[in-house]
Amino acid sequence: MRRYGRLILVLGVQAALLAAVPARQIAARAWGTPVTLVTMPVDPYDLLSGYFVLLAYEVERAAAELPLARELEWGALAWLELQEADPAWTAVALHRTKPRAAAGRVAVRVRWNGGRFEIEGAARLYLPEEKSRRAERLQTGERTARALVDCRVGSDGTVALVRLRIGDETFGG
Amino acid sequence: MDLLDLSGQAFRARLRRELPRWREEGLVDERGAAALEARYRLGDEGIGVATAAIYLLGALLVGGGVLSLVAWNWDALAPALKLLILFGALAACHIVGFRLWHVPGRLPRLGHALTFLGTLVLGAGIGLVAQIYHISTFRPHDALGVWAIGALCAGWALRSAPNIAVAVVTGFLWCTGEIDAGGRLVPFLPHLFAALFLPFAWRERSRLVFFLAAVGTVSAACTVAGELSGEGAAVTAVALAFAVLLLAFPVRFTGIARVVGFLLLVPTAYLLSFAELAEGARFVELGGKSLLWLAAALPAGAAGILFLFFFFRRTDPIGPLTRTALAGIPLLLLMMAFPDPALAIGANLCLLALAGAGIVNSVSTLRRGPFWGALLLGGTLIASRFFEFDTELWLKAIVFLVCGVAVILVGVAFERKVKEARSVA
Repeated sequence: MRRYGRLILVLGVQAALLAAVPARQIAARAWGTPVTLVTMPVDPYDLLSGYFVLLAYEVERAAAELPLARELEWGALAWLELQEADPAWTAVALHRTKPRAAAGRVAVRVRWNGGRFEIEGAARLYLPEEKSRRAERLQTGERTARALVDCRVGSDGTVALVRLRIGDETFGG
Repeated sequence: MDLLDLSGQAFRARLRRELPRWREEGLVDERGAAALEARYRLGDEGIGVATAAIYLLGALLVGGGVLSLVAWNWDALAPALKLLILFGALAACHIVGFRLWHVPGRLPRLGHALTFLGTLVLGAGIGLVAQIYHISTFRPHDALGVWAIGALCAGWALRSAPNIAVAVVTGFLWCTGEIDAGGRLVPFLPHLFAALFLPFAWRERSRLVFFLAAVGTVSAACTVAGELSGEGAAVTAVALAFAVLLLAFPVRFTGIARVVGFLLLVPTAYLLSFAELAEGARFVELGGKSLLWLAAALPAGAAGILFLFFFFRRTDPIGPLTRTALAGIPLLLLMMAFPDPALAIGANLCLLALAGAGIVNSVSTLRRGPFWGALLLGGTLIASRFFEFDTELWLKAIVFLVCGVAVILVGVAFERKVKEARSVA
C-alpha cells in the first residue's frame, strides 16, 4: 500500500500542476464579466505569428492617452478601467491600484511597455494554422472587417479570451 | 535507479557472477550477500542497455505520436474533452507504468519508460493547456519551472533517474529564464539547483544525475555571476572555485567529478590564455560592483579546500594530473590580482603544465585517452599563440614543423609502448 502511496503522490502533484496552470482562466470563464473589445493589427505584417493570433486592442491605445500613463515606468503594472458600451467596451480610467467594482465597469491589469499598454493575458489567441491565415486575410485584405474579441474578466482582473469575431465569422471559443 | 546506467549495469553483472564465489570462499556470509543483493538489486535480471534505450526512445515517439494525433483534430474538440484526454493520458502512463515496473514478473523497464512518458505528457500538457485557455501571461520559463517540479516529484517518489534528468534539464532552463528576468532568488539559484538534485544522485548512486546536476549547478553559478557583476572576472572566479570543488571531490563520484572539473578548468584557462580576454578577467574590474556573486563562489571554494586538506577517507587518491590542475587554480587566482599580462602568462603556464603532466602520467599508466588529450591540448595552445601574435612566417613554419615531428615521434613511441605492454600481459 505504501508503494502505491508514491504513485498517488506523483499523480496528485502532476495533475495538480496541470490543473493549476489554467485555474484562473477557468474561473474567469465560469464567473467573470463578459466583455467585448475592439482589436486591431499591431502591424499588418506581424499580426499573426505561427499558430496564434497576436492581438492588440483599441483600449490599449486609448489608455496611453490617459493622464497616469506618463508617470509610469517601463514595465510597470497598472489597472485599466473599462466601461460597457456597444459594440465594444471603452477605456475610461487608469489606476495604480485596483479600483472598486462599479456597475457596468471592469478593471483589467495592463503593463506599460514604453510605447503602449498591453492587457495582461490577452495578447494571444491560439488558432489552427488555417484559421489563423483566414483571420489574417479578413483583417488585412482589401475588404477589411472590424474585429471584436469576446472575453471574460474575473474579479481579480484575469482575462480569459473566448473568441475572435471578424465580420460574420467567429474564431476560437 | 538509472534506466540507462551503463557503469551500474556492468558492475551489477560482474557482482552477480562474483557473489556466489565469494560466498563459497567465505569472503562474505549469507547475511552480507543478501544485503549486497538487495542494495544492488541483483535479483532484477537486466535486459541490456540497448533494450532500455529502445523503451525510452519508444516512449518518446509514442508520446509525440499521441499528441500529434490529438493536435490533428484538436480544434474540433471541446475544452473539457481536451482536458479529459490530457489527464487520462497522464494517469494511464503513470498507473500502467507503475504496475509494470513494480509488480513482480511484469516488464519493469517498460514500466519505468512509461512513467518517464507520463512526465513528458505533463510537459506537453502544460503547453496544450496554455493553448486551450489562450494563456499568454505564462512566461515560457515558468512553464518549464512547473514541468521541473512535476518531474522532480516523480523522480524522488519513484526513484527514477530519467524523470530526474528531465527535472534537471527543465529546471536549468527555468533558472536561465529566471536569471534573465532578474528575480529575487537569482543569487541563490545555484544552491537551490544543487540542493534539489545532488542528494538524489547520492542516494541512487546515479552518475548520470550527478553529471547533469554538477554541470547545471556550475553553469547556473557562472551565469548568475555574469549577470550580477557584469564582469568576466566574477565568472572566472566562480568557475575556478567550482573546479577546485570538483577536482577535490573525495568520495563516490570522484571520477565523474574530475571529468567535469577538467571540462571546466581547461576551457576557462584556455580563454584566459588570450591576452585580450585575460585583461577583462582581472579582479580590478570588479571594483564597485555587487559582491552577491560570491554567494556561489565562496561555499564552492571553501568546500573544495575542505575536501582537499581535511578529508582523509578518499576512495580514489589524487593523481599527478589532478594535483597539477589543483596547483594551477591558485596560480590563476593569484594572477588575477596582478596587472597585465600576468594572468595570460599564468593561464598558458597552467595549460602547458597540464599537457605535460597528462603526457607523463599516461606514459606510466599507458592510457590512450589522457595521452592524446594532453597532446591535443599542448598543440592547440601553441597554435593559438601563433595565431594570436603577429610573428614572422619563417618562425611559424619552424615551430609547426618541430611540433608536428614531435607529435609523430612521441605518439609512435607511446603506441609502441602500449602494444608491448599488452603483448606481455
